[in-house]
Amino acid sequence: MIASLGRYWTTRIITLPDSPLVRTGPFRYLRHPNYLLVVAEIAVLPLAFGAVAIAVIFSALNLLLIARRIRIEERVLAPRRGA
Amino acid sequence: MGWEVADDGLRAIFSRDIPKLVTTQLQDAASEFLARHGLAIDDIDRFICHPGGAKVLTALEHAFRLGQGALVEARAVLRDYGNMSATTVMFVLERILAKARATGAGWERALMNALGPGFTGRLSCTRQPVTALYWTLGLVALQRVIELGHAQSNTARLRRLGALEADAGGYPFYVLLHAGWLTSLVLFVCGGDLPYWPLIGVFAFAAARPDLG
Repeated sequence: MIASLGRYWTTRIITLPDSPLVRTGPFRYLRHPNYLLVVAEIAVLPLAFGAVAIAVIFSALNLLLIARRIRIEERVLAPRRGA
Repeated sequence: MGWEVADDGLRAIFSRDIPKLVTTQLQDAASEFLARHGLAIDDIDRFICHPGGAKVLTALEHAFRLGQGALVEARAVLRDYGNMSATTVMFVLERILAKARATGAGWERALMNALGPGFTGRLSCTRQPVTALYWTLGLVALQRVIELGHAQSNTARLRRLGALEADAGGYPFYVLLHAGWLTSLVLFVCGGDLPYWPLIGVFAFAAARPDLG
């Protein structure tokens, strides 16, 4: 992931106008591969220690935040995806 | 109580008062001992006791306000080998550790106690050392710090090139979510709990942010 995004990998939503959309590596198949991994992370680590409640609560909050974030990213990147 | 030198070795002399002594004195002695470490009996979640006889075990259960089954390993050692004086507690410790390894059920603080001639009681309070949980969480925290450093230098570079940030107001919530997630694992998972390693493997795979394609 970090290899594909390279110097574009950030934790804030940062867009550089006119730079091309990354479509290599996992981005060939998924629009938001990084978030898929974050969803897995938040759920799996607590589950590994049997902390089901922590997994459920933080996964729910995480899904809400990520859904919102993806909507914003899609809106920001829409012009570059083309019609 | 004490020892008698017999032809075939040492023979223990027991006083009938031992169970009564345990009931009346040990609780105070243990509370005083734990107070020196800033702890109380309620802070202890595992008792590793020298089984100085069936009645002594019952007295220990009263002294430490233990439920049934709390001293099951001590009873098993007493049944299998008898009372071998204070060192019997090491056999109990061995069984408790073996069980913890097999089941993954750990504990945070344990109180070990043994009784000997005199009449003396010895107590030792142990805390779980840095366990799999703390190693894992420490590595996760380190990974996050490295990622944040990497992200921050990318962000600074992109901003210099004229990049714009969307939803700057929402960003603190992501930080809060990840910090809260890690903190709740530190607070609510028992330090001695062993993880289910295949899931740790899945987590490590995700955390490495692989280029899936």
